[in-house]
Amino acid sequence: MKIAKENTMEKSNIENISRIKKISSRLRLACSAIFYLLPLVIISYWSFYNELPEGFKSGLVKQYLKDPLLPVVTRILCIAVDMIPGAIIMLSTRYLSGLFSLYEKTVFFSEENVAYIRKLGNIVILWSFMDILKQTLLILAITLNNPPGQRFLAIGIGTFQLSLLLIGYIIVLFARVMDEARVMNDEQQFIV
Amino acid sequence: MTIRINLDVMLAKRKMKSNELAKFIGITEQNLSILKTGKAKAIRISTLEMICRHLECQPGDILEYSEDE
Repeated sequence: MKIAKENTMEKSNIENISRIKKISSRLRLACSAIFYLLPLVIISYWSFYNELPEGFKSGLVKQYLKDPLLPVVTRILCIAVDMIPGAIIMLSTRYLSGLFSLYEKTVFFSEENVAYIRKLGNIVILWSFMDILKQTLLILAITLNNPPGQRFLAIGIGTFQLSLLLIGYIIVLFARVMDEARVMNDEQQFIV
Repeated sequence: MTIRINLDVMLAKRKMKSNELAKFIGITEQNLSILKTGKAKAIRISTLEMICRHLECQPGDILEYSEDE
C-alpha cells in the first residue's frame, strides 16, 4: 500500500517536472521572440505612424498636436524615446529566458535562479521610473516642432507606473524568499 | 565539540561494503558517502533505523559525541 502510494507520488512528480520543462521551453521561446520583435515593432510603429489607422495612433499625439501627421525627425525622436522602456523590456526578456532555461534543466533553487529573479524585480522597478521618463520625453519630442510657447514638458504618474513599481517590489521579495528556499534546498542535500 | 560518524568502523566489523549497505537501506552511495565523511547536516530516523537493522547495531555504535574537534 505504502509502496503503491510512493510510486503514484513519484509518477505525479515526474509528470509535473515534465510539464514544467515543456511550459518553460515555450515561454523561453516566447521571450526570445519578444526580444527580437520588440525593437522591430517600435521602429515600424513610428516609421509608419502617419499611415496607421486612427485606432492605433498614440493618444499623446492626438492630445498635444492639432496636426496628426508627424515629421521624420519627430518620428526618429519617438523611436529613440520609446526604446528606453523597450530596452528594459528586452533586458527583462533576457532574464526571463535565462530563468526558464534553468527550469528546463530542472534547476529550481540555485543561486542563478535567485539572481535572475532579483534582477527581474530590479528591472521592473527601473521600468516604472523609465516609463515616467518616456512619457515626459515623448511629449517633448512630439511637441518639439511646435512654435515657441506651444512646446510641452509634462511629468505624469499613472496606475501603470505604480503597478509596475509594486510588481517590481513583489518580485524582489520573491527573490528573497527563493534565496531562503535555496538555503533550505542546499541543506536538504546534506540530509541523509 | 562534534558528532563523529563511526559507520566505517561498523562496516568493517560486519565485513560489509558501502555499496551493499546503500542498496539495503535504499539510499544512494553518494548519500552514504556524505554520511560517512561527516558532511551530513542531519540523518533521518528512518535511515538510522535501517542502518542499525542491517548492521545489527545500536545508534550509539554509529554516532559518537566528542568534546574535541
